Amino acid sequence: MDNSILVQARELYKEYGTTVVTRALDGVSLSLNKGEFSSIIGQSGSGKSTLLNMLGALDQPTRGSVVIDGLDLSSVDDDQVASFRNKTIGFIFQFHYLLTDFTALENVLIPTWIQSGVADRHRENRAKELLEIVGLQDRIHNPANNLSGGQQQRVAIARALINDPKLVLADEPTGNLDSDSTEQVYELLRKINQESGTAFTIVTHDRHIAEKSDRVIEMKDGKIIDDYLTSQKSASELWQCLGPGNCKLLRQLAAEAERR
Amino acid sequence: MLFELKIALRFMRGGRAQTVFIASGIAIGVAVMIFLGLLITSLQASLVDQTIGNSAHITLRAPQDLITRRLEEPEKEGQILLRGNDTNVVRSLDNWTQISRLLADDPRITALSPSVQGTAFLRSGGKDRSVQMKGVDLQKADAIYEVSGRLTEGSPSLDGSYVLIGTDLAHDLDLAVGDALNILVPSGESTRLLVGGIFDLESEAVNASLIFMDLSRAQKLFNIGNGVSELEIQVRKPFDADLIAREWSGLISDVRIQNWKDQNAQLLSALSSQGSSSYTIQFFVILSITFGISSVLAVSVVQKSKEIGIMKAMGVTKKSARRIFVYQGLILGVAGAAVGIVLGVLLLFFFNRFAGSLTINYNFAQIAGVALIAVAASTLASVIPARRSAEMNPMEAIKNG
Repeated sequence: MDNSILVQARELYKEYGTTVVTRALDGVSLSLNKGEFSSIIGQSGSGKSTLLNMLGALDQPTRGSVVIDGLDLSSVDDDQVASFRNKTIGFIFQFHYLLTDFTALENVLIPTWIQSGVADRHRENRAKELLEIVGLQDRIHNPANNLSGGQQQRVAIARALINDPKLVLADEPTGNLDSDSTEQVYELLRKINQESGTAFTIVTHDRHIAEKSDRVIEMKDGKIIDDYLTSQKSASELWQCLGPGNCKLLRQLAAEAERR
Repeated sequence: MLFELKIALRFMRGGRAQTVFIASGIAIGVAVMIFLGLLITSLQASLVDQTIGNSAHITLRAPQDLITRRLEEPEKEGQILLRGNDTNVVRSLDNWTQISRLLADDPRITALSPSVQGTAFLRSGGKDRSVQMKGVDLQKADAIYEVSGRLTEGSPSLDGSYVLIGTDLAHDLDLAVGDALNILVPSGESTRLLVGGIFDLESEAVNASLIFMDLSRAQKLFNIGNGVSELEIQVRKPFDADLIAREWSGLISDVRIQNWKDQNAQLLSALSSQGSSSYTIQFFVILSITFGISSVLAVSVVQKSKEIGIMKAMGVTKKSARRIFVYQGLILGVAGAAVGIVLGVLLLFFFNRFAGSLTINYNFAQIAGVALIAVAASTLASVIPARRSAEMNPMEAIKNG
């Protein structure tokens, strides 16, 4: 396998139901590179979240294979997958899903407890560091339900990073936040990506975020219909492209214009 | 392990009211079980003690009563021919010394008292009364009847012509220590005796009719030589009396062996149904505790589904997700049982202090047993909710946000 590839998904199909079959993913192949900051865009129901869950080993494809960091997920059992997720992948969801009975610091530490079972000084310092990075150094001991929405999402980000994952998967991480908080969260993710080389894959509706990624993957009806690097397009072209299905349409228009 | 415990504790602390309610439910259940269980146990022990505490558990008698009157073949048609006079003859156990020597080594026996028993007529101050004479060796009889320790007047001695009579008899006939009484036995023999002491055996029938006298005097009075009418025996485990009696009947021939269990079958069946109703109540208490915990935890699994989902995404295994809830059941059980023990013991204490004549024993083995059952049931109750937590699909939980 190519050394720069982190996730390799081949011919992923996901179907629900037996008599009435709903196909959420329809033969998706995709590879994600180490340290890459990519966005998955597409309309609701296009299969973005389903794909993200497959890439994060949260769900098994009906057919096809996912290899993450050299591990073929179909070859290991549930517990091994869980442990692998714990060490390799961080998750950020639209809703923060903090454990409300714990403080901010404890929430960040939970993934380390799963590994070792006990608190650990070194990890605790790292958690404080992360909370500082996300700008919550003053809220370390606040109960989770005593924080604002933006603050909670930032705790969730710190939590996703505590085990130094190679890949962070975020499903609409800013979907629940106002535009200021959205900007802050994006800047934060980008900063961490650049500083630690963690790969980020973000499912988003937000053109502003997609615009700033390294790579954009657009999905429709369970298929990838477009996949390009943002650096290859001019700012205005990119902005137009990010409308749903626009990129393909633009290309077709361009092709037709050329033919004439 | 520690991690799951931490989460379990925190979940419980978060749902404070829920936790307190269900733990109180367990505590009350445990307290009721302890109180009821011990009450019944003590009540039964007291009933059994009243029945057999001061009486023989096993009695050895001569094989059959002497028949002094019998129906014979009539000499003429329509005639009923009876022979013999219908007197109460004390049939004696002549080989009792051999028997008691034989049984002396049996470690199960706690008391063995030979006695001569017979009905007699008491005449005193112009009043007549039918009484039961009991000739005993006072020291041996004390091991069963504890007469010496229950004298209200006089001294515990059967020397000479002294006898011990009951309080009711003394009261009815206006007898005091030192007074004389005349005894007439069915054979026509009579003797003059002196009241040496007055006992209270806490039974009106006994206090009104029983008279203890010296064994050898009784042998003479009833004219049975060196024989006795019965050997009265107490054993260490009264509830084994029937087994022991059966064993002996194979060992000793030519005696009639009776045991208290056969003679009190009604009491025993009452005790046993009392016991089973107590167990039934306790069973249903435990059952409702179990259902209570189970439903509270099931609700908690639903309430915490998002948290469980995200923890699973973060790498919590099925086993861990299950343990979080099993621990909650265990903790609820332990906490509830601990408080329940305190409540139950308090209840017992107040009962003993303020209510009635019955004293309930603090049987700590039984209390510990109830606590153990409660903890086990609580843990068991968490199994179904815990399984639901283990099987929860993280994506489902998160998607429904």
